[in-house]
Amino acid sequence: MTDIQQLRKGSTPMLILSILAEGNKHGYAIMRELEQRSEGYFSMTAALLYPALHQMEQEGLVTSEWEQPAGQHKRKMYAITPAGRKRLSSGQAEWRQFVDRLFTTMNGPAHLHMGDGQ
Amino acid sequence: MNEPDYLERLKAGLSGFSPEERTVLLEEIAGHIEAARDDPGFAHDPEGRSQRLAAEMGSPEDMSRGLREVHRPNRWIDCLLVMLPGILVLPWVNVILQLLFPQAGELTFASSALFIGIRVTIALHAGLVIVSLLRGSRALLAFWLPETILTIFVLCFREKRWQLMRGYFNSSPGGVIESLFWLALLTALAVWLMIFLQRTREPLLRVLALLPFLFTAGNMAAGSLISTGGFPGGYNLPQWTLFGYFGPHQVGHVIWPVLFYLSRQRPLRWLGLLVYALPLALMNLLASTLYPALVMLWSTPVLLVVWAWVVDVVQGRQIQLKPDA
Repeated sequence: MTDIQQLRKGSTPMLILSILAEGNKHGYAIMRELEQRSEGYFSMTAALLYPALHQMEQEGLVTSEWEQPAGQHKRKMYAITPAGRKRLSSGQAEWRQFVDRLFTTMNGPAHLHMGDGQ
Repeated sequence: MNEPDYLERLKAGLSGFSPEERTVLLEEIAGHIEAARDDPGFAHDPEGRSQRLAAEMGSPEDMSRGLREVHRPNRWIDCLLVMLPGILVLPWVNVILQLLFPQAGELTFASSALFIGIRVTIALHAGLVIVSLLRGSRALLAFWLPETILTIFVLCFREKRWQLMRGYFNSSPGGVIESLFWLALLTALAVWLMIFLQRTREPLLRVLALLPFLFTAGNMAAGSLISTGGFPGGYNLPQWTLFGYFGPHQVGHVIWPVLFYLSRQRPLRWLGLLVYALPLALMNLLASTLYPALVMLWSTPVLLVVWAWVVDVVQGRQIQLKPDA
C-alpha cells in the first residue's frame, strides 16, 4: 500500500464524520455523498465503509438506529455524537496543520530558490 | 456476482457470529444493496448492475474480515483458549508424566519425563496454533505462535540440538535428522512470526507477541547467572501464593486474558497486557536486585507495554495512519 493510499484510508473516519455532521445518513448515502463531494477521489467500497462505521460506533463517535421507510428494506441510519463532533473539530485542525506543514516543507527549497532571485 | 451470491458468501464469512448478530449484519448490507438498486444513477441492466455492485461492494470476504476485526465474535472462546491451557494443562504436563511413568527418571535422559514432557508440550502448543488458524483469530495466534517458538527453542537449547556434529543427541544419524527437523521448524515458525508482525499493524498484537521473548531473555540471563554461582543464597522469588499454588503469575494469567480478549476498549486491553507483564517481571526483579543489568532486563516487559500504550494513545489523538489497526 502506498503512502497516499494509507493516508486516504487513515482519513476515512474524518470523512465519514464530516458527512454525518450535516445530517443522519445510511451507509449507501454516505458512500454517494463522499463520492460526489470528492468528485470520485475518496470513493470507498462498502467492505471498507461498514467496518469503519461499526468501529466508530464502538468508539462512541456515531450512533445508529434502524429505520423502515414505507415499502422499502430496513436501513440503519447513522448519526454523529457529541464526541464525534469533538473528534471532527480537532481532526480538522490537525489535518489542516498536516497539509499546511507538508506543503510548506515540500515547497521550502523552491521558495528559497525564488527568494534568491535566481 | 449477483446480489444473492454476495449475501450468501458474506453469510458464510460471518460464521463466527451468533445467528442474531449475523442477521443484523446481513440486513444492513441487504439494505445497502437495495438502496443501490433504487438509485436512479445505478445501472438497470443485470450485467451492468452486477459489475457495479461488485466494484462498489468490494469482496464479501473483505467485508466479513473487516466486520470480524471490529466485532471479534466469540471473544470468550479466545479468552478461554489462552487462560485454561496456561493454568490447567501446560503447567501440569511434567507432573502428570512423572506420576504416570515414575520409573522413567531412572532410565536415560531420552526416556525421562522432562524429555517426553517438552515434546508433549510442543504438541499441545502446535494444536493451539492450529486452533488459532481455524478460528481465524490473529489475537489468539499472537499468543500461541511465540509460545510455540519459545518451547521449541527451549528444547533445542536444553538438548544442544544445534551442535550437529557432536553432543549426546547428535551421535546417531537419527539424532541428527531429529535435530535438523527441530531447527528447520524453529526457523520456519520464526519467519512466520516475523511476517505476521510485519503485516499486523495492531500494536496490541505486536506487544502481545513480543512479551514472551522478553521473559525468556530474562529467564536465560538469570539461569546463566545462577549456574555460574551468581546467587550464592539462591534465586529466591517472593513466595506470595493463594491456596499454595496460585501465585501472582497464575492470578495474572486469569485476569489478563479477560481484560485483553473480552474487552473492546483499548485502555482495558492495554491494562490486560500490563497485568500479563507485571507479576512475572516484578517477582524476578525483586530477586535480581544484586545485578542492575538483570533488573533492567526484567523491567523491559513492563516498559515495553507502558511505552507502546503511551505511543498508542498519542497516535490515536493524531492523524491516523494505521490502516488495519
